Amino acid sequence: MEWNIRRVGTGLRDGLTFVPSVAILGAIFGASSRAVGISPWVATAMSIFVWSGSGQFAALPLWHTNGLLVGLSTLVLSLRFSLMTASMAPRLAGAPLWLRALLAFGITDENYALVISRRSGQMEPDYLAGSFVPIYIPWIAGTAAGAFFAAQVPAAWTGPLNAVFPIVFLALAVLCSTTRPAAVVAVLGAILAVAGRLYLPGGWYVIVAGLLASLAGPLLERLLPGEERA
Amino acid sequence: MNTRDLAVVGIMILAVYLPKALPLLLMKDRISPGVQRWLKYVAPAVLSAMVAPAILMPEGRLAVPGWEQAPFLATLVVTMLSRRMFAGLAAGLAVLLAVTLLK
Repeated sequence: MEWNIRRVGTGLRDGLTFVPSVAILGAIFGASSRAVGISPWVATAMSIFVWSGSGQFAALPLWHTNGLLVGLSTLVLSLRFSLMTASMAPRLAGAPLWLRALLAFGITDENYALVISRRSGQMEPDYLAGSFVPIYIPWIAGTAAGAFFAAQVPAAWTGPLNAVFPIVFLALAVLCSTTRPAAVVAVLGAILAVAGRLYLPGGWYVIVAGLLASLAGPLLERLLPGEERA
Repeated sequence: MNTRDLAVVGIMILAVYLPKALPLLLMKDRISPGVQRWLKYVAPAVLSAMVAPAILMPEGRLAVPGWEQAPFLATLVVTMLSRRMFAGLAAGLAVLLAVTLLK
């Protein structure tokens, strides 16, 4: 596999969209972990080695309970990554094992969404590596700033900033719903997730809705023949 | 630094890394066509499942639709019409800014 430095650059540039919101979210995590009584070093190490926004936030209220409970809630929230990397697996089949092991660490909601909605339809490891940097670095820097300096984000900012992630994800969800069955799957996933959020505990709603809606895809292909663009 | 906290971080590292890595490491070179047909639909299903509750139920229950939802509507419509990431983002962020300033 040949590495193309320009594709690394494209990934890096596409990932820049996430810098402000990831950095601020990192600062909120750092400050909140301080409030729970986690040492700033441990909080920063979490952002470096665990690297999962949802998993880390979910750990905070459970921190002083059983460590295995923390691990279990992180695991439940991370199961959605299995769906994501399974969908990437066929397109990374040519990559050597060590590279796949490394890329697996780099996958997160944000760059998965970027990679999967690439116009080329390809899954390039170099693009993925590039898009990893502008999400990973601000997350760590933000956490450290929040944890060591107990940086406070003004309350008036948090509402609008919380809306930035859904805006980006919504655009990416629309862009990867290129066929009619895919568009129906996306709507189905949305409805099931809302219902699941109401009735299922923790992060199960993403996994259950994602699994059921995606399984409906092949059935919908038969009901809606023709791969027209939605 | 306390050892117990580091051990919990260690458990969390595994709890995040293994679900990410196992599908990529255990996959076979050839995946059956049926599974491949399914995997195509994982992205739209998972992305919309993550985003819909964030938009429609920011507090954990269904929100009454209001100006807070306007940026999402703008993003949805503009991205569907233009099929361009940048246009959808620009529309959503512009409406978000307007709603924030006017509130």
